[in-house]
Amino acid sequence: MSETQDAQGREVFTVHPEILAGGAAYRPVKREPAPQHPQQSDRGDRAAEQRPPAS
Amino acid sequence: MPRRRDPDYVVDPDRGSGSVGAKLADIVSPESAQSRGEARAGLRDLDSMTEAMPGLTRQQRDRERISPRATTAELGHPRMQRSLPTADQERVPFSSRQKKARSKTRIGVQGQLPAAQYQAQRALMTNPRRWHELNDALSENTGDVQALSDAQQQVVRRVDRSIQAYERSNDRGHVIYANVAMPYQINHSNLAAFVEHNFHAGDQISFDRYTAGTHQLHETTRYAAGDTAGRVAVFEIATRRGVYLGHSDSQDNTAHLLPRGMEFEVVGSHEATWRSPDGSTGTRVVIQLRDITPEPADQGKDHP
Repeated sequence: MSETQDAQGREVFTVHPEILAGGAAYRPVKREPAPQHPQQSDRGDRAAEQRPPAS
Repeated sequence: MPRRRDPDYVVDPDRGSGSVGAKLADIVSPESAQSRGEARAGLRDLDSMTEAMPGLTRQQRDRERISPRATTAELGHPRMQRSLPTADQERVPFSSRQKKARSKTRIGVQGQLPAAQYQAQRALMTNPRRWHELNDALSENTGDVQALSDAQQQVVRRVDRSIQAYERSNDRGHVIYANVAMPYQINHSNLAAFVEHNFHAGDQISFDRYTAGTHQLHETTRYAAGDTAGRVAVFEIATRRGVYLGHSDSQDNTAHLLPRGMEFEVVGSHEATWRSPDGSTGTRVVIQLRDITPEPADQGKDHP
């Protein structure tokens, strides 16, 4: 078996090192609390709508 | 939910947004952490309901689910589980046999992947900008894939299926090392104390994003070479999940991609010693995690 190609001849790619990195290139972290998105409350509503009533 | 050790803040190890791929811990308010935890619980409930719904095929359930289902094969042997090392145990390079076996499985599974899944996985893992954008979108929406754009949902579903394809063929456990940068106030002088204060045994944490790591502490340390401040710790994660994206023993490359939507329990933290193939050694602050991702699919086993 080839170590560089799969059975369809596609590349056995290498993960980009930045994706495994840490350190120098960081942007400052966001300081404000995470914003409350409309979807979050929507999700809660969806869960509540589909949750069976408590017996 | 991110654990809470201080009444004024919570350290969420998966929340920060950075220009590189490592996890970036952020400080969020307790209210925000609680809200995000409740949102995740609601999403798990939805997945449980999807699994319990009669009349759906496995494929239909997987399409409707918000978090990807674990599809791991049975362990080949109990010794293949791989457990977390003890604090005084030196982290040594992966054996040639381990690399060859996992690489063989990777190439075999990849050869069977549809072109769309292969392209989605490749584009995500070779393009830091795409990695950054997709993971930020998942984090912003607390892991709710259905809140993403149609194009993003398509990519996420394809990547999820490509990971599941590997899991179905993998009879081994993993210990994965992933860099995590602590908030900017932290540096080499207070990293160990900050980690000890904020990650206690028994705490539970959630990763809405995908997680990229390696099977070797020295290798993950090499990728963190730019951490001049000394604020990057390492998650040492015991799990059966994810896909090996490293190579055989011709390269010192044991990359691994973990699925999104995972939950972990903190086992502990300590300074660990690593050794590289050339004999050099070093230490890192590691936070040991155990995979406790709930599996709603268990509730749907009666439905084919």
